[in-house]
Amino acid sequence: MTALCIIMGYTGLALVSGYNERWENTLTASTVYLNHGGSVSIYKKEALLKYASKPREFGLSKSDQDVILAEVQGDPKVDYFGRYLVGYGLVGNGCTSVPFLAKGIDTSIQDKIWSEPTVQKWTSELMDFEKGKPFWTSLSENPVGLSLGLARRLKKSFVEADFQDQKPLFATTLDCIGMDRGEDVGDKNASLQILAQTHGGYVAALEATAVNHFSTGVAFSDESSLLTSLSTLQKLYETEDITYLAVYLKNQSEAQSYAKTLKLKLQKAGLDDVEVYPYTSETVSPFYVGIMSFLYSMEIFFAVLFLAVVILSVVNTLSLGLLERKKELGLFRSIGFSPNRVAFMIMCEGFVLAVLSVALGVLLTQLLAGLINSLNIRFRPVGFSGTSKLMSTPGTWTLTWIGLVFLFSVVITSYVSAKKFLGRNLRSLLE
Amino acid sequence: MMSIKNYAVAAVTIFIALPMVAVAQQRPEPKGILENADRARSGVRNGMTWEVEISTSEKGAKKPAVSDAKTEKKSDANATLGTKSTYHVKTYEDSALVEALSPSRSKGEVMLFQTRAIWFFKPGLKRPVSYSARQKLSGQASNGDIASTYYSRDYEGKIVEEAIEQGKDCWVMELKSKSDDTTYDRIKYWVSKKDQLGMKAIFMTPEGEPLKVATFEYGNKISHGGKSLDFIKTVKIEDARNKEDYSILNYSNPKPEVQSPSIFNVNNMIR
Repeated sequence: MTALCIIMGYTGLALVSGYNERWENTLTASTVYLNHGGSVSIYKKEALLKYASKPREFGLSKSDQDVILAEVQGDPKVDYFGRYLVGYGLVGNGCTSVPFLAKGIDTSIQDKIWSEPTVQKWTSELMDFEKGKPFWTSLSENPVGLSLGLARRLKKSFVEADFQDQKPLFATTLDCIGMDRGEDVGDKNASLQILAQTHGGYVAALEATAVNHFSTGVAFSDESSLLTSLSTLQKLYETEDITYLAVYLKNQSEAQSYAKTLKLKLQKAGLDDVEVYPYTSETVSPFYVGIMSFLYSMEIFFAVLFLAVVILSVVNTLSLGLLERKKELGLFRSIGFSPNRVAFMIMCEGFVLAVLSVALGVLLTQLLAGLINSLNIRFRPVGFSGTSKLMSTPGTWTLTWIGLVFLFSVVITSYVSAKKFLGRNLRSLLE
Repeated sequence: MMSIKNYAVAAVTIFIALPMVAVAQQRPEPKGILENADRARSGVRNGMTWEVEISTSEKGAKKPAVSDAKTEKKSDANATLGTKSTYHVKTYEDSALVEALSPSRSKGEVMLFQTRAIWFFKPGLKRPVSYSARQKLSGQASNGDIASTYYSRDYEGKIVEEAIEQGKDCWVMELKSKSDDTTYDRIKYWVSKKDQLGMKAIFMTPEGEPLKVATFEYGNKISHGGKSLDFIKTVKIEDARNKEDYSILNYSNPKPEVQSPSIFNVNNMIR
């Protein structure tokens, strides 16, 4: 009974932890690589609050970038880095315009990002385009990727790849009412017009080409995201500034310490009006931190629940077992074994039981995790724009620490229960 | 039976109230005031042209953007950002066609106002882009400030008080937007009693928070129907919170000119 409880408790907690581990890996790869946050990001002070209204004042100038790059380049901890520009504006289809939030990305590192093993392993679902190809492989002058919601709101179903074998059609007089109803108005092209206010305060517009439709994976950003190259966005906003510089570290676990070190280095180099954030900072990654906090809370809740059940079960079955073995224990006592010595023997029994149960739990966990992962059960996580595969991928470290917690709990519970039981006088044990 | 005292009170009350009733009766209809004020800011409805230069000053913009470095005045670090644009405006009824004349980077850009819808076009675009009258065009000036100034069409007005503005006796009106796509939600508007010219406006949020303050000066004249009419010369639009952020619109060469309605067709913008 105790063994069964340990096996079930261990397996349950390991599966929950495996589910969390999967999301931690996916969110980390998504936050750092796919969403171009970097392991560490450098912004102008207060830029996260004020950049949208005053980009000229709260962007990183060319000279700021040079100072940062001097500190980052050649650092053995740094894998590579990228420059990013964020901006707002309107994108139109000739009839209606909808607001967008654009990110201009450093296309020189895009291939490295996409070939990252963690990206390939954990975010492969998010890398697939709904339609089209990566915009950085396009030869169009201003290629852009549209998020699914943005493409839907623009009623822009065509992408560049649709016109490899046919010529795009432009209606001479656009029937906007028909287009709004989703009718075929004879306008078949991937052409888009992007309008924004330059950092110098003027209205500017660009003719662009929709190259792909992608999902950001997050419901709220899927309605308005537009991705393009840094050079296209800098051309639109008529600036050489960037919004932030992202540093990609070889080891993500060093992000916090590296952020602190880099901030000090930049201060020494005279750049004291910048902030350096690790990807685990709530300021730059509220979605990552919010989801992970929720998952950790859930894991702690389940850990307490499963451990409580196991401990109560151990106490219960051990009490019954001790009562059944009362005379045997009394005999040990009567031939000179101290209560501590007898309790230690019972603790050793508990230890052996726990080791065997945990070993079986590991096997059962692997078996069930494999089964769950192979069933391709899809669900829609809260806040995500699409469905996701239900997976549990507990790693070696997770299996080990849960095993150790269970071993420790069983051993201590056995010893304390036995010690308490053996505290009775010898006569009552031998009766 | 009323006492003599009561008669006296009634007589005094009537004596005080009568002039007030008379004043109230003298107040013209708000719509009429707005129509007259609109005419001095938008001209005559069957066709007008003028030029407007918009200069902006914005504090807190520390460095020049690339385009400024190439084409505009360079501003020093920590200096105030200034931009200057000139537009040629043609109007006909509720439509306006605005062509950018300067700076050189903006040449060829066209904005078409159709009632409250605005279209932007420039060479290189395959389609015009529709956008909002509320969107800032340059500094504190919104697109709608350039040509879409028919308050009598877009707002419901009422006279709330009287005040003196720029040395003139004015009606103070509260205007509420009739739709969601107007340039501003609420406006407090000072209109001179004598010549019915808009003297000042406070543009507000739906909650009544002041956003911008505009002052109007009339130094231009246009001839229409054998009469010489006042026409807007300068509009200064300031940020309500930060007076160092402002735009000045200088109007010149206003003249009535019959326009062909076809130039105000959005489909003709790309031809």
